[in-house]
Amino acid sequence: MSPSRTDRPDRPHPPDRARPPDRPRPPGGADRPGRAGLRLLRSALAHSRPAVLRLLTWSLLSAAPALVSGKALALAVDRGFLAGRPAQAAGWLALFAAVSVAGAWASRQTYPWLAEVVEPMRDRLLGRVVTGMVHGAASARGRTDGSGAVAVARLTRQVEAVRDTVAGQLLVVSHFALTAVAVVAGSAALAPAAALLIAGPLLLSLLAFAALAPATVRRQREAFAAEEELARSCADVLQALRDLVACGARDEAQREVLATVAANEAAGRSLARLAGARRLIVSAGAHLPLLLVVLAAPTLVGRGMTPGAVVGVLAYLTGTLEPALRLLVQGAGASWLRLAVAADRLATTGGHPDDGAPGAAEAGTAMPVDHPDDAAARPADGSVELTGVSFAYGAAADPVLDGFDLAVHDGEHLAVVGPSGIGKSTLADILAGVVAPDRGRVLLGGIAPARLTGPDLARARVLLPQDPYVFTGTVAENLRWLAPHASTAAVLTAADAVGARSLVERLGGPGGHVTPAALSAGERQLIALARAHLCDARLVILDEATRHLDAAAELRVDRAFRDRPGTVVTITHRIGPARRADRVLFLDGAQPLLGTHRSLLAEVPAYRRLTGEPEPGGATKPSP
Amino acid sequence: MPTEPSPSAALRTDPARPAPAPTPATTAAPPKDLPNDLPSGPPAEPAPPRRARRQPLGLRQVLGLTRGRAAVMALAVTTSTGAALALPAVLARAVDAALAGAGTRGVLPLAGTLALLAGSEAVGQYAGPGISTDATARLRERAIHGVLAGSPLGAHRLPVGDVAARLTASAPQAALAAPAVVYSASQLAMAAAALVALAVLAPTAALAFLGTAPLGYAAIRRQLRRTARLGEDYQRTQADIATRLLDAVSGSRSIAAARAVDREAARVLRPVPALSRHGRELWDSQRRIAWCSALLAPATQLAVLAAAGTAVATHTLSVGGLLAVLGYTGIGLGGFGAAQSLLDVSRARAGTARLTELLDAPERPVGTRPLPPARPGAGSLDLRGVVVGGPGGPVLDRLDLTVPGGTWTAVVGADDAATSALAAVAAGLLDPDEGAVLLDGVPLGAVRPEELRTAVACAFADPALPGRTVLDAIGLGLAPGPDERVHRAARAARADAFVRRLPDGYRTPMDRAPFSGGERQRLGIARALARDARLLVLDDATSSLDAATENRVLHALREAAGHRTRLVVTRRAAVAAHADTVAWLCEGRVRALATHEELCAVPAYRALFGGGPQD
Repeated sequence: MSPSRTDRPDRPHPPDRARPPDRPRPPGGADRPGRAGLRLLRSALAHSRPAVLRLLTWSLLSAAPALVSGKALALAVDRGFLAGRPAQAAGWLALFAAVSVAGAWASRQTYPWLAEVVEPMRDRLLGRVVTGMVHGAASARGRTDGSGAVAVARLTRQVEAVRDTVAGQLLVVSHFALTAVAVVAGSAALAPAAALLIAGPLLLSLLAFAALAPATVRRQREAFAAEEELARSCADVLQALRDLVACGARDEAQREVLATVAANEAAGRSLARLAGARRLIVSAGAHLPLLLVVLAAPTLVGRGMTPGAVVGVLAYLTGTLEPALRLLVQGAGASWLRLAVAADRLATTGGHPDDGAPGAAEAGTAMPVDHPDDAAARPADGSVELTGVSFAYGAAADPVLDGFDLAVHDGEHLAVVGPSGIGKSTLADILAGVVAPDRGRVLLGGIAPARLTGPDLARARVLLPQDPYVFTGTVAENLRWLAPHASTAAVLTAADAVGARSLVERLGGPGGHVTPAALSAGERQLIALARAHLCDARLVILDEATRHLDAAAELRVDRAFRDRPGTVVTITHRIGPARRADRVLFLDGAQPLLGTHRSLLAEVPAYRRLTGEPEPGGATKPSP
Repeated sequence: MPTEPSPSAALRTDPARPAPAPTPATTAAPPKDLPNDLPSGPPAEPAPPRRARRQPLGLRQVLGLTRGRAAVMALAVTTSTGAALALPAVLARAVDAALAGAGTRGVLPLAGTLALLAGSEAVGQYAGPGISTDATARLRERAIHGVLAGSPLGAHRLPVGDVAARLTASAPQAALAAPAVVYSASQLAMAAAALVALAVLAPTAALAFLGTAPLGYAAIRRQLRRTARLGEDYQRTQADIATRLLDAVSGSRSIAAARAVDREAARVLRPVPALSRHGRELWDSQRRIAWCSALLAPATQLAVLAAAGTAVATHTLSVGGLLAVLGYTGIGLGGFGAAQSLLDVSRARAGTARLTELLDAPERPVGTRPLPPARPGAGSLDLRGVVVGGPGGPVLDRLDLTVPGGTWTAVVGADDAATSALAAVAAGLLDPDEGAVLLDGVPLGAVRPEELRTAVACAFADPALPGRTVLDAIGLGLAPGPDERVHRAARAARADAFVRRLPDGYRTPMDRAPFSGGERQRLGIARALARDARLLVLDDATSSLDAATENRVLHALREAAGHRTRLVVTRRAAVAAHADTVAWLCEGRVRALATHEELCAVPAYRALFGGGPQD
């Protein structure tokens, strides 16, 4: 489901700690949380107008018994029981019974329409949150860590909170409004003076409820924030527990977590105090009229109000108005606030990266936007050329690449080696056109990546990072990810080539089911490697893509890609692939050096040290 | 006449429930396999052999956490129950007085009853969530103590996301126990008392109530059960979406490169139609509940009214009495609320069960002895008959090893579990099942924790780097001091250069600095070097470094940390060659203790570093 453009929140929000940090948003003014909630509710209503109308119609009908009940009861008492005519009383009660059943039937009819409003809204919301999160993660380029899991769990919970509370709002608020009207109108029909006695305090209590709302919103919001903070700090500390203990910092960390527990407790307490206050509002709205009516009863009866009418009015107050008001003030009120706050939180996560947040277009770190000004442009071959490329992670940072030139010919195998942290992965991203350099030119097969459409770029080259993407689905779906039309035979051949055949068989063949969490890191890499081998891309960039394989498996992968037509750039910290490559790019921080393994070995002492030549066997290690 | 076509009980937001708790029926439980991708301890880490004490935490204990406050709440609820029960009778008398022309004689008792009701209910409304909040905080504190005080390696047996979920979701759920018990008891008591009042006022009306109400109760309860079952289906589908989303977030770099962001978002959302279907089934189920209760209430009321009205006609019941009968019928029907409260009790029980595992983590005793003062040659490590169990038999089996102060010992062995266990035992992170580990003659477990953590520093293959900035991360646990101490350590660990390349250098927030595995290892080594420890334990802490960087770090270890005792677990020959002595572990014991050159004469030793074919 694609995110809708009409209902998307249009303002950036204050940064959320659980969000990937690489896309800072300007700290906009604190939006009133009610707005996000209202926007959400409005969009839900706008999207399913017919359903909303039907829902309202049935709700209206369901309030009919409330309208009729007082009068029917009054007549049953006055003309039936008190007049000694039980048959007539039974008649009035039967009328009331019939109306009650009709009302119950009407309220039964509301549910399908409620589902028709709420379920699509949840689907849209989920779509927006998921799209926003995948987009955010894709443009963040950061390493994934545990915070992803926590954020995912939190978001799904908040989407659910929104679904439940919107439904509650639709049912409860409309129910209350209709009931209140029915009670006042019904009382007015019985005794106009009594209606005033009811409406006055009721209005007063609703005003008090409204006056309490801002404080409640604030505290509810604090409570949400406190809970998120608790989850975050707890996950952080647990993930680092071994290291915290080893550094003697556990007690301090524990104090911090306990402080978040205390903050949660304080937030919960202030909410509880408000709950007590809300109960008093119910009293004012429903019980005060009761007292007033009883006080005024002698006067009213003196003016001709019948005993039945008194019973009817009081029955309205105790039986109909009080429960409805209670539901509104104590239940729906709180649930509206939860909706408001959850919607506000979701609004900070949902939405496309191109949502208009100015931070998204940061130089260098954002993906180049697809502007295919020449639709016919296609890379001529698998060559790649960098001219005068510079890149830094921020204005103040030392550049990772500075005026860098490189030409890789079609069909060539290049190994990129160098100490860790020197910018090899950044180079991979620039070669693949995932990241645009700050300065300089990149040409893939003679064409700038920005001139290619997304699909064309994806067909032209494949980048395999160290953490591969394997998803829940069949083996074949996973392997065909980059080549959707590949035949089963081709899929199996590719799996065979990279040494993933036994894995595929263990998983139950091409139709077998893949559960990513059940695979080891090496197995996930094998699936990604088979996938890259299968696709048509003429340029393959392997960024530590064999890191979790042992040396023998790595050799097999190396050979498989050597036999595959096209260019291969292998980024590695091991020396095996460098020995086998046509050329080696050695990055050591000072000056990038390009040569063959032999020439570098002969001429560059740093390269010799890196390969660990003096140490027999020192450069490779057994697989973990 | 009280008709209440109210939204179903399951939808109702119970005012007694603390507001931040997500609505129960459809709360997303984080999927079990979600947190598997979290960085956790090295898989080679041996599971401590001790069994966690299985002493299930019961509802009784949870109730005991807030005994005093629960008593206040029970008192408030009892008072409000009494007032609510008195209200119909008091109202009846006031109305009868008014109708009889006796003026406002009955108003004062009515006002008093209403005030008492409002006051006591307000107290109850405050006390209910207050108790939950209180119990939640106590449960969380205990769980956090339990988890953090346990073995720092064993804690990783429960995935981090799972623990966080239990703390945030299960603790409030368990804490519902006291309010739920109080409310269900009071609701049932009120229903019973209302029935008695009905019987006193108009026996026929009571019979009419008994004839109609229980039928509906059974029907509603069945529907509530069905709803709970459907809710589980819904949650499973939700968990599926969450798992897919996590897959996509973990593989985001591949997705960005393949320009497949929208396609993958669509893949994550593939189970949404099923979710919609389950959602609609849930609404359908709630509709049935609403229909049942919407029929039940008027049916009961009508039956009771007919009976009571007949009594009015025969003058055995006053008009006010008719109102009272209506009121008690309402209270009696309110007893059905107990069905929801009882569900809450069972939810509290489920939440308690999920917390039990956290609360029962075995605690490690805290040491009290000081270490002898640090002097040249201090830091001698003595392992005597150390046994560490594992899933498939002992990992360390009566191992003896003495490391003289100020020397460098490498630990090698084919079994990663054994070498890692040795490092963990030597660093005091893992207590041996048998045997003793002595640092300068004092058993590690008996040393005062703060002194132990100053005396022993560790670096790991997969360091976790808590701290707000890079500076905080390297200076973790250090007493406040000059930044230069951290800079010096970073230079020695070859971390200074890449840290200075960051936008704000050492002040760069950790969450804005994506480090590679090798960079993280060097930060971890810098953190270990920044403290003035007499014993330095490195567990495969240079495994992600290339040979050249590793070589420089090892040289720094010789120069900058030359006075310290160093115990270095490694899988690389180059690292072993740097050490004064190599301890070669085999089958849980030290097979040989000699220099690297001497051991290289043994083919089995050379085979440890054989690696793969190199063409």
